[in-house]
Amino acid sequence: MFEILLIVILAIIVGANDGANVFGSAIGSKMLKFKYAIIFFFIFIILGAIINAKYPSAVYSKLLIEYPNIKDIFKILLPVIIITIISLKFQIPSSISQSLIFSIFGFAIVNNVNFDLDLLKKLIYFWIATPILAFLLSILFCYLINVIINFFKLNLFQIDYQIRISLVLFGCLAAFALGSNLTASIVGIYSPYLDLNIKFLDLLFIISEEKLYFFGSLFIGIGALLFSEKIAQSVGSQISKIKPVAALSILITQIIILICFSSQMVINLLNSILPFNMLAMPLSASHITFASIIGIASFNKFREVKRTHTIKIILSWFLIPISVFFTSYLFGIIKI
Amino acid sequence: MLKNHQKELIESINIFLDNILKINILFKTLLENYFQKKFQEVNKITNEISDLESECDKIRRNVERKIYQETLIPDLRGDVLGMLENLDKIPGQIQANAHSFNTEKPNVSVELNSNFLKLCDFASECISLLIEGSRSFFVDKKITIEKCLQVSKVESKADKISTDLKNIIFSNKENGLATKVHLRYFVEIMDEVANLSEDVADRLIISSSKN
Repeated sequence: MFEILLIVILAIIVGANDGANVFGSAIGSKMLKFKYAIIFFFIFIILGAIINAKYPSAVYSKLLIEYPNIKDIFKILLPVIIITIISLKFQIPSSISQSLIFSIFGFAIVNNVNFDLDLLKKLIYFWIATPILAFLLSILFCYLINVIINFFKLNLFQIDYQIRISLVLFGCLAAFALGSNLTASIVGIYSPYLDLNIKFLDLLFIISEEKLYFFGSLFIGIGALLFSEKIAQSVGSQISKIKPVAALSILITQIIILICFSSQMVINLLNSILPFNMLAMPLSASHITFASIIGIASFNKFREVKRTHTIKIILSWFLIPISVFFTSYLFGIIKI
Repeated sequence: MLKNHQKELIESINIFLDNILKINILFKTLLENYFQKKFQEVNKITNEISDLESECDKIRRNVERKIYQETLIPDLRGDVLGMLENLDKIPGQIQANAHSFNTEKPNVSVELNSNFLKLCDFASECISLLIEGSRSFFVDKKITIEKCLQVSKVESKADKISTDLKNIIFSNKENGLATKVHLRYFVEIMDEVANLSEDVADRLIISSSKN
């Protein structure tokens, strides 16, 4: 039961932290109301989790060659929860998946558990590459959307309507893509124990793969519903002002990157084309959103970028994983 | 949530702009009738202008309410609302001018008629250009800037005519000071239409350049 409680806490934190990423730019640019966004978010995040979460989840079992006992998993989760709550307190979006991997890393070192260092290196490469890719793609999409608008000579209200519809459609797609990614981040660590039987009082809970992903994503939705409204309203405004066309390009960038790293079908297709091998892995939606916003801000030569907050976020990309690693290591030493 | 209001709004805005053009044309007719001393006709046209002005107010309020209620065009809302509110000052000014002619019946001598009509033509041209620019604001901002820049040029011509008119009025030795001041007032209120158009055009240029 303790495991379920940890998943619930983590899912709610993730929902509050990352839920805003999907419709945040649409809400922040005042194109969509929060109450409508949250309904779509619930539906599509659950669908995404059930259909695709198993692929990026597999990373956790691959990373640790000797997977720890289920009772030790909380030692990995606890540092993540603590650091994420601290980062939320400072209003800095953090990456749960990265924190988890670094917590596993700390746990493995202190407990002398073998882990796949090559896979860790590969994950780090992709974590560095995805924000750069997001930065470039958001510029490309913003440019393309503007070209399309100019080509069709739409009036302001037609553009507004088309963008509004696109933000809802792509927002649903992004929620679907994020569903697999976020759920993999929070329940993926339990994926090696699927078909788990948990006894609580005299009740026996059988946790199957679908149930695990369903409840994981459901609590992400609840976290978003309860805590993400303020974050969603201010997505972008803390870094740079977002206009509707920019919001749409950020969303399309998110979808493409998230799907490329969560759908096995897309990964197989990309692996047959690209000179390197990609893998299904949990990514940071916050990092992708942030990099996309900076990409859009480049159109105005970064004039609207709030430097202090931007530097704080970029620093947190390094500080958070390091802090999680050391917290996990410390917990291992003091035998929590 | 996703109702398409664009047709309805664009139609309303077009009616609003058409009404301003109609008022613009009606004022020229009013002036011609006034110089021909057809005061009954002047009274009728003044009422028509008033009706159209009220309709403009109503349309502007509806459009503004809809844009805010449905949170439409969030990034351009302020500019569009500013444009409509400033445009709405023009029919208001023309209506006031029409009422002034209708009630005060200034004593305009025949030699001033042609200059008064010229001033009216320049003010009218300013409005026509501004309306074209305003229509383009929703589709092509380059055209808006182009048309609005032309407004300034025509407004300068209106200013010139207005100065000429004042010179003629005050160099007249037959009229008393009261008549001269009264006539000057009419020159100024007619020139004010061109000035207002220029102000709106300037704001539109800024909005178009910004976006």
